[in-house]
Amino acid sequence: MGNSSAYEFYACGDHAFTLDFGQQIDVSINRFVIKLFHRLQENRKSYILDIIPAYSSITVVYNPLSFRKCNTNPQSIIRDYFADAVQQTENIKDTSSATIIRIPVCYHPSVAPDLESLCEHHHIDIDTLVSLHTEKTYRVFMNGFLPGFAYMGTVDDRIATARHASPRKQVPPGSVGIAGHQTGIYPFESPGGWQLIGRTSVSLFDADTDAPCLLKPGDEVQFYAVPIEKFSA
Amino acid sequence: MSIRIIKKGLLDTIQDGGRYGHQHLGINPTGIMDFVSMRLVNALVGNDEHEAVIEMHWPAPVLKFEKDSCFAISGAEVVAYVDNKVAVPVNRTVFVKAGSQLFFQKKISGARIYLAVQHGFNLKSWLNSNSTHIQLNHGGQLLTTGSVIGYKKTLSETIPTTNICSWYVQSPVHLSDKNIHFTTGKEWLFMSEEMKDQFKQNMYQIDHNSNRMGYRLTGSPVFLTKPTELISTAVTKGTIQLLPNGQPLVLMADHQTTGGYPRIGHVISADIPKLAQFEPGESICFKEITIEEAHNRLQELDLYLTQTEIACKLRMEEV
Repeated sequence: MGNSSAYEFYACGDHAFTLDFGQQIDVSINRFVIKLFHRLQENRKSYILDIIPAYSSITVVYNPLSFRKCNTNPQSIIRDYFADAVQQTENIKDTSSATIIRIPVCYHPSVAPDLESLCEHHHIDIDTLVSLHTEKTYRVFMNGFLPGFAYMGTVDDRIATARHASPRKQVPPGSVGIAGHQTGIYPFESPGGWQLIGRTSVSLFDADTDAPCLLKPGDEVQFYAVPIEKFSA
Repeated sequence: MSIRIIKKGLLDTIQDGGRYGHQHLGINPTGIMDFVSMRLVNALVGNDEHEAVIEMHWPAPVLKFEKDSCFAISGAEVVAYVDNKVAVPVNRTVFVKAGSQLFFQKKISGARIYLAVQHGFNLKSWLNSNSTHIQLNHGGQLLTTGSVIGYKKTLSETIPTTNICSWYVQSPVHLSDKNIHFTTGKEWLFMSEEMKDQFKQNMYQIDHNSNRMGYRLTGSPVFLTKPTELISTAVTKGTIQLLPNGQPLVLMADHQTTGGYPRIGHVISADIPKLAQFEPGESICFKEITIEEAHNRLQELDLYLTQTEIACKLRMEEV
């Protein structure tokens, strides 16, 4: 479970507080963050607007005007709210098994503009890259950047690649990318700097449903390769 | 059918207080840029403070009321006319008959204009909000030439001619004061005293590529004592990120949910409406205050707006 009780608590302006468990991408810390997120959601207070888990931190956005009438300081109330939830989360046994979501990806240069240069950079062929990217199961550490965008990781050292120095103006929807040890899928067209190694036709975000996002923090994702003949964007 | 966009403006959208509760999925809240003006226009027509309104930029659209209407405009200081003959001042309640057109002739100051109609617009809410998510083109409504927005209710009486009420409200936001207050952020301590002073002394000019997502500022560059790379954490409206080139970026209504740039400060909630009314090319200056002071300022603002809402309700009952 990691050293969950070691955290830093700080304000983000006059309407948010963050609990930070250390600046690192670590599965056990993130597992704790997600459990804590669910605990906070279950015990949601009326002054809370949003609870946002990230890699190793969790942020509560609150309405400062909710504290107008009671003569109390939001800082001490939210600090206690966090501390209680941390304590309760530490006592929760880890029983939940993550959902595994399988996503078909077409790894072909015609739909993945960085595939060949990335292979060249790492001195591997496309087949090796495909097997390195598909053999691991990735954890969704957090959502962010775009609605439905999931930060997943961590990819094998042999294919980990820095993002482009200047982002592309338009990345097509369904593009599968790598940035450092992270991997992710663009849910819709947007600017972006990740190295694009494949594309999927799976819909990651559907605004018309009650649960618009396919991937949520704590999910497990496995990619599998589909040939270009079977791929339609 | 009730309001028709005869000619679209630069960016016209429906906005309310924002779509909260979904940021853990990366769904950013969007919402109104200037909540003070939104509350004022809603007060003027007797609406609840949270009712969705139209947010407009300059050049503004030409609008046609297809039904007898009670409306108000607020925000930027503009010269506007109904049917090219009756001047419509900002911050007043206006009654117009069906077929009237609203035309904005000139903008004197400010960046965003708000319009509310009595009883509000009839909209299909998405995740409990009517704010337009521009990037997704979902929720609210992105207005273009020919767009039509319905009303929730028609007026109970007919309006024979344009009538501008004699009473008005006053905005508590003063654009002549260029100070924007901030509280220090997590990475503030990573700046030397010299750099902190520089940040607070700079007159920052608002860049032309500023928009609803964020305000890019230009001044003498400031840097952290050593370059810091952060892993992504949540960011919020008002967060002042320090970009690698030493210039700040203030996150506004359409900001992303997470970010990794150092957070040197946060614009206080009470000053977001003012910042939202400053235009590219204008200059601002940051003044440091405590979180407690920031809360006091927000409460004072809220009190003023609540009193204005009550006063307007009483006036509306007399009409």
